[in-house]
Amino acid sequence: MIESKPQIERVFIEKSSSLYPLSEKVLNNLGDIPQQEVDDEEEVREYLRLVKDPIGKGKKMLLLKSFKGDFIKPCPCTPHYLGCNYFIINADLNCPMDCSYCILQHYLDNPVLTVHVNTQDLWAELDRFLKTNKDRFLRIGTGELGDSLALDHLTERSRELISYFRDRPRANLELKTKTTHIQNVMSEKPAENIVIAWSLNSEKMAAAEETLAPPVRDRIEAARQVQSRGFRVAFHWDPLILYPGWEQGYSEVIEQLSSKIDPCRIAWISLGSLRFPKPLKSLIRKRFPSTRIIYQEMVNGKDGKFRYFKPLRIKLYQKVVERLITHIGDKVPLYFCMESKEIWKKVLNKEPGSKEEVEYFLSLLPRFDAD
Amino acid sequence: MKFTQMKPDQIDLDDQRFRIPSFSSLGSLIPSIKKAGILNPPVVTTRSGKIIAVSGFRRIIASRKLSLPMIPVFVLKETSDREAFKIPLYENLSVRDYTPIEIASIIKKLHDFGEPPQSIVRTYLPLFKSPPKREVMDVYISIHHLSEDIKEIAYKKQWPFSTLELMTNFTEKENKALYPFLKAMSLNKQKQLIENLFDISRKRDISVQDLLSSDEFSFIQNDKSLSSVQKAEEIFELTRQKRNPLMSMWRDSFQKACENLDLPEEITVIPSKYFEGDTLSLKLDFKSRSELKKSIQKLKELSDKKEITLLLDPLSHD
Ligand code: SF4
Repeated sequence: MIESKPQIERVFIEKSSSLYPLSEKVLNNLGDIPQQEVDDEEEVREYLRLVKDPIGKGKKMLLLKSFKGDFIKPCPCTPHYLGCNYFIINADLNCPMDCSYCILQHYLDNPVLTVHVNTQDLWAELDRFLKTNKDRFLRIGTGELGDSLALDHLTERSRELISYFRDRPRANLELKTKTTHIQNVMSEKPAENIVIAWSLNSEKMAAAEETLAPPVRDRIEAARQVQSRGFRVAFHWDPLILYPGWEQGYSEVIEQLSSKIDPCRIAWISLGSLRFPKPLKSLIRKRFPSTRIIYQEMVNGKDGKFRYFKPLRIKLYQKVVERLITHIGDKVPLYFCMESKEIWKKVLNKEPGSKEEVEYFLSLLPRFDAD
Repeated sequence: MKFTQMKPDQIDLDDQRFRIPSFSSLGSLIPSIKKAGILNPPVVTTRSGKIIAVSGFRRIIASRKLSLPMIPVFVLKETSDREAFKIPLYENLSVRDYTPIEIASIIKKLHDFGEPPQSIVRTYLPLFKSPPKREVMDVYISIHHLSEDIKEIAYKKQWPFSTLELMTNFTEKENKALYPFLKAMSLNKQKQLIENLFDISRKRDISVQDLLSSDEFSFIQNDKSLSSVQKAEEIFELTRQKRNPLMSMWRDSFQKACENLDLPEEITVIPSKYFEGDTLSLKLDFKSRSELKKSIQKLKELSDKKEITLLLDPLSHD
């Protein structure tokens, strides 16, 4: 398993944030890399406006700053499709990997890798948030506006998050990644409510569309190790992509997954197909001229995002679900990310009435002792 | 600047370094000058011993057409091209917004006159209500290099930046192949045709001119019974089918299923947009209670027909 660490070329430190312990830790872990103090984030933004590929460049620059807004937000999901009531922690933003389809290219207004160093504020906010929501199950994670473990060798944030959530069992913490940076996770004591998740694709799509991300077999191997350490794992088949040979490509990875991972310790598996808002299409075209994934048969969905024409999506999902059930059984909770109730019904034969129902269905613990 | 009178012929219009190209005709300018004269004098300067126009090209051309003996001008004293160009740039900006084609030309000129990229990005792009980003500046420069034919259509139909940006991905030959069809289309269809052709050609890894010279497209182009507008229309439809073959089949089958149900004129079944939803809507027109009753009866009969399921899944019989 090869561990690829991001190539950070320069680090910017917001003046008022240099004394935070996390700033010091990151700078120590970074080693000998040019540093520059800036008054505020705007200075970095301004710098990136003048480069030819600000998104690509931003992935090689790191900003340490304190965050003044709300760390915890409900996952924005997408209008008119069924959500899952997920919450996101905006601890670190952006990602050093460079997937062609990544929504962050369009979503983030500052393309620089950002670590929010005012961790004390995060814990205080989490305390308040969990107190307010003490009567419900929660799923919360750091992997929506970035990759949960991509900068973990610098921030060691996973260790602190795992420690924090270990004592709060009603909240499921999910750390979602494509990397194999599991060193810090492996050094922590597992807990049932800590889920380490990997985004998967076929090897072909990973190699072609997920620049700098490790091969899928390495991700599965990392998941195996984490699972043998005692953690529950999860997988996100998202985005599933239609390309010549997709059935074979996805089947192979599912077989590999089933040969290495114990399904009893899979917390959930999500499925989602390729989708993007219109402006992202031109960004992808420009930044990844050799990609062909945006030229499949797509329609402008109810949420204004392009997605595969419905019969194509149904076929794609049905095939993947069928392979999953054949190889890992039907006990692992499967759910859709940003899909319609019709698709839930047609593919999974489930009819959740609301995102709260989805949340409840995914939060039940444990799942296999009934048998 | 010195104010003076000058013969329009004295001004060398061949040197167009400061001209912001315009595809609009002299239109109302000639009658206006004829009636009221030149109210806003052009600006001229000297280069290599010649008097050249800095601003007011169209006013000078109009006054030549009207054979005016003298026109008022401001003479700009020796100054760099970069500084001089700001005169027409701001002069026009004070009265109207620039189109993306004009912005492209302005940015290219600023660039060629040595305006640093930082200054173009920070100072000028915001003036044109464009995002202040280097990549946007680069796209404008590419837009400037589109063929004059395409720029003229884009100017006249007011193509948005996104369509122009897409056009810059086509080769010069592809641009040429597209031109005759674009010329005969409305803005919306132009945008869709460009997008669809681009997508098909990239998906199949063939150039647009190869695609347009394939049998199906050639057949339409060589059909002498069709006017150029009809040809453009058919090319548009064919491109749409090729871009979304399954959806086209789905739509056709849906229409066939409706026809087979033999729906009366006053009842229409409407699918969801792009068939993305799982419900169909029904539109029922009536002018009287008896008409309504008749339609309801007809609907009852229809709901018993097994073909009705085909409306929900039009390809299910295949
Ligand atoms: S790994 Fe995830 S966050 Fe990172 S570039 Fe890929 S899709 Fe985006």
